[in-house]
Amino acid sequence: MMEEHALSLDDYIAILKRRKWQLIIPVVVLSVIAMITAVLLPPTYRSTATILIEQQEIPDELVRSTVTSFADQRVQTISQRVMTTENLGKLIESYHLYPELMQRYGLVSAVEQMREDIKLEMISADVIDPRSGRPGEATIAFSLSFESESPAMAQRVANDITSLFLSENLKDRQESAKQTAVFLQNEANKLADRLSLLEAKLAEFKEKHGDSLPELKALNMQLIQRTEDHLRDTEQAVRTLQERKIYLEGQLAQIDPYSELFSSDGRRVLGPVDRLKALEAEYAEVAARYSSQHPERMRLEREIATLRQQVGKSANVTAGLERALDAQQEELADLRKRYSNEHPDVKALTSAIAITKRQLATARKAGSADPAGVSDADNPAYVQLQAQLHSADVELRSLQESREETRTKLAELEQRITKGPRIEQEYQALTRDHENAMATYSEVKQRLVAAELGEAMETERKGERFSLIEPPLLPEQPAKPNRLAIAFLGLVLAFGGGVGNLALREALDRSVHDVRDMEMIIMAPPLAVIPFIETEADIRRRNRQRLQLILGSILAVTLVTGAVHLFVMPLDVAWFKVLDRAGLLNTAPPSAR
Amino acid sequence: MERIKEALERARAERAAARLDDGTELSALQADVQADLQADLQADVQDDEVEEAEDDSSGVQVSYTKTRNLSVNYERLRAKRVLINEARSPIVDAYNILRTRILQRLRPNGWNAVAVTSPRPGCGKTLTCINLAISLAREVNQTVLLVDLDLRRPSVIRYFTDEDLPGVSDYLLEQHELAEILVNPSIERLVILPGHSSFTNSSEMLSTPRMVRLVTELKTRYPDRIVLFDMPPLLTGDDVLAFSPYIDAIMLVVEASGTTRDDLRRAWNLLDGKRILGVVLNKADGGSAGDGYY
Repeated sequence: MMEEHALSLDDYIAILKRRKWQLIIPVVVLSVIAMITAVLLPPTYRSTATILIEQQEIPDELVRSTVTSFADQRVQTISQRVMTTENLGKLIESYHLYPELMQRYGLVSAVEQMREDIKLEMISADVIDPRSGRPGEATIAFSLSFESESPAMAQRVANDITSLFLSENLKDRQESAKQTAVFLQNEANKLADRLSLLEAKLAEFKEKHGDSLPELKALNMQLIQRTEDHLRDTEQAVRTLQERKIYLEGQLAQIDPYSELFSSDGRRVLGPVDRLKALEAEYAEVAARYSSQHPERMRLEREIATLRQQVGKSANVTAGLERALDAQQEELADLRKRYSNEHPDVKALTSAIAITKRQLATARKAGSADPAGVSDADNPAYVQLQAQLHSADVELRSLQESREETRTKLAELEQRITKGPRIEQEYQALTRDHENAMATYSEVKQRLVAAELGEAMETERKGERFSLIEPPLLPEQPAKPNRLAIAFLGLVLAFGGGVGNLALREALDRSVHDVRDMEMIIMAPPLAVIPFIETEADIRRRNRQRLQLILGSILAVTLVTGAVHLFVMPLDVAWFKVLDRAGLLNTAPPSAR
Repeated sequence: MERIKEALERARAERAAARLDDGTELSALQADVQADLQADLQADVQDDEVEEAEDDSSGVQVSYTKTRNLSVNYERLRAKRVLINEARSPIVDAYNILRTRILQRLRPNGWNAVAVTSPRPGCGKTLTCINLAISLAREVNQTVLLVDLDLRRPSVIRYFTDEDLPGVSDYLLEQHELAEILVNPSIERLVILPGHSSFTNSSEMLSTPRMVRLVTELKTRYPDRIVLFDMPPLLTGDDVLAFSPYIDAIMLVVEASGTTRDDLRRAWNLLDGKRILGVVLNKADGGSAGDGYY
């Protein structure tokens, strides 16, 4: 690649000479376009309303608002609500805004354009936060503006949008406060339901496990103490009674139930018991001597049976039988030493032992169940004793029953104490739930009251509010465009474009222009530099072209002017319009009123 | 008008051919030529045999007895940018500078055959060739022969006349002898060898033995004659390269603001190793042409 040589002023002049039209044409064309743009851009009027965000009237310490978001955030929220397609669509329809857009692209693009034309600007102030003492920036107001090609339209639409903002804010705050109150009310209701449920549960639990509740522990202990005392007393009484009974039985045993009976011959008539004893002794003798079929033995047997029935199966019968059995067995053993088993005596004795054994068994079975004593006793002392014994017996039985009852009761009480800890756990869980619910409920109740206060404040418009301090005015001067700036900028850009075109062409041009270009390649000066040879025809042609250009330009300008005058608007009107737009005409803009 | 002129020319040619045969009626020819010349043409034709005559003085005085004379219209030439007897102007000065520098390079080396070419068509190669030839012819120490060897698009003679004159192509096809096709455009010490019809296989034609013989004869016939060959563009064919062994030096014509640097570089590299006279920057802006001293 060849090295770039630094361009000197002469080179620039040469380039400029060579390419003057490539500079002049873009500059002229772009300048004309810029000028036309600056003049023809439609004027835009802007109408602005200023809205102050006022703090609430009632001190914060007394009533706290339930609407706590930051003012600017709220303004943004409201703007989103206001600038819905529905709201803007209504405005567009009622004022017939953007007729072209509506016709060509429909409502959506018109609404989009309108959103662009509506401007929301926050006005902030440097303030010191009274609570934290730190400096900060707070939004104290905001401005709303609308831009339109007609000043009257700008004012009217700005007016409508402003009132939309104000009413939306009011609605929003009231709604918000109301929502808070309603929410808290719902929460309170839910909590109340839960509370009653818990209370019912608690009551049920108490009912079920009322005896074992921890709070009854002391009482239960006391009851146990008392029951134990009672038990001890009862047992004492039982023992005393038992002793007394034994004593009485002993007494009773010493007294003959029957009064002394004497026969006519003066002989003492034996009582059935004594007679039974005598007969039993006799029977033992007879049974040893005779077989069971012997009439004597059978008579004795019958008599003994009768007597026995009479006497009952007393303990002494059993004792007597046992004694007899022992004696018989001793005798048998003695006999066996002497005789074989086949000896008649041995045989007889063996069968006698068998009978006695049977008797003993019968006696044992029949005995003991019967109360002591004799039912038909007629000895007064015996009867008295018997009565005493009987009463003691009854008393004893009642005491024993009482003792059993006491014992049962004691066991029950002890069980209550044992169950205590487990019940306590459950009970405490229930209680805790209840207490928590209670606390939450009361808190929510408090808040509800506060929220209702806040709601009342919002409803009566004593809270923070937007107040319109400057309604949208009828704009007198167009806000846009800045024609001078556009024209100036256009000229600068045109010149820049021309120079850019020149530079681009020069940079893209790879051809040999002058001696220096050539020398860089062939490393030697050229033999000669021959200028372009101009002929008469060339000069004539050039002159003719110039003339044509000038005449054509004049003709074109005339034609365009004439066309504008005839088909667009008369030239004098256009002239005043241009003057007006340039701001040179010092007249008020056409008023809508 | 045109037809009458053509008829006149044809008659004149026949007469000339007839006179060449006996070689006696020189004065008659002179009178004939004189009559045809334009009033302001200042070439004085002298009694001199072209074929055999040797110059004996410092200045070369030539009278063309065998060569066809061509009357030229100055207006026409000027309209085609050919400078014949301009007053001193920057352009004439530029051509004179070129002439002098070429002569300074040719003479010490004893060269006399120069090919003129350019990287691409449209650089003004043929016009430069003609103007240089005129400028060289004005210098009294030598004669100049301008040969149109652009066999693809022969155009030299178009600058002088609309007549359909025979040229190199006819010589190569052996239809005419050399003496029949040489033309003197009523300018002293300048003879033109036109091209006439075009060849598509021009580079092969340039290498034919007849061509080689022609070139050798043109170069060596007279020691004081400078032969300029108008060649096709360098980058569009191999004519120049094929022909380069028969010539002494090459001159390159470059169009200002027309030839790209790449083309110039390629052309220059192609000629590397050949005898290069130099490069001429043609169609330059007034500003870069010279100092504008005069």
